[in-house]
Amino acid sequence: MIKIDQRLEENIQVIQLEGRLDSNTSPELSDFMRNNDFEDYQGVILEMTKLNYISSAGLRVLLNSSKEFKARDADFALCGMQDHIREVFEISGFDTFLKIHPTLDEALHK
Amino acid sequence: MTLHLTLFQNDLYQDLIEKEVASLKQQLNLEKRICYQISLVLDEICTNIFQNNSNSNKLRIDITLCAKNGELTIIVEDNGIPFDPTAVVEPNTKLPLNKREEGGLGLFLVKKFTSTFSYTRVNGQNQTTIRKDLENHTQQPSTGNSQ
Repeated sequence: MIKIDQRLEENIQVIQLEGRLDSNTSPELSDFMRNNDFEDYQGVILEMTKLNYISSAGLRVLLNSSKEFKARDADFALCGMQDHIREVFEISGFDTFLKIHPTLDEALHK
Repeated sequence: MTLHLTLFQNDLYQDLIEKEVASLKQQLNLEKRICYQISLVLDEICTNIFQNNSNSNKLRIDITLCAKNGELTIIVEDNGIPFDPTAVVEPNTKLPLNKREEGGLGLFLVKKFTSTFSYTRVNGQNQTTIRKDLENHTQQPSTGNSQ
């Protein structure tokens, strides 16, 4: 199960993820990112404090989202990862092209 | 201790894997990080098998998890098309964003989180064997850590 909540903070879209991002739930996030128009906002932050699990299917959605935001020259960042999730981003090399902040506050005021 | 799990094409297999790993966690007092890695390894292996056999309604995956002497051995057997997961080309994790492509990442993570990852085809079945070191990955009872 994945729960996706969206709110606005300082003209930045904060998307909070809760639960699991696997091959079963990743299409929900993919659809959400595709169906929302983020162009009127300063950027998008994925808040992952409550994300307990991510597989390669979830990483794939984030890879594609990163490419789309980069193509539009828009800000896209992640924050609040639990340590075991962060380790997967590091091993996959995703920490080299994604902006990853320890907390939402740091992500908002980078 | 030994656990068995059988999966079929239409199962919500991630939930079943999670339940089995929760049982392993409880019985061996394993850390949250290690349990996540075991779940991820099983998920990635099974996701590949299900995707490779998406047209089959007779697919069956049998998983055996055996913890002994500080090591977890996982044997995954399936009756799907022949497929060697250890032969999948690894992604280059050093490439910049514009050159990164999808594919291969799941089995790459399996290799990274295990000490042995081998494959053989036996009696018309795919058999994948994975070993993972569990030593020094149990929770300390005195800390009261809720991991």
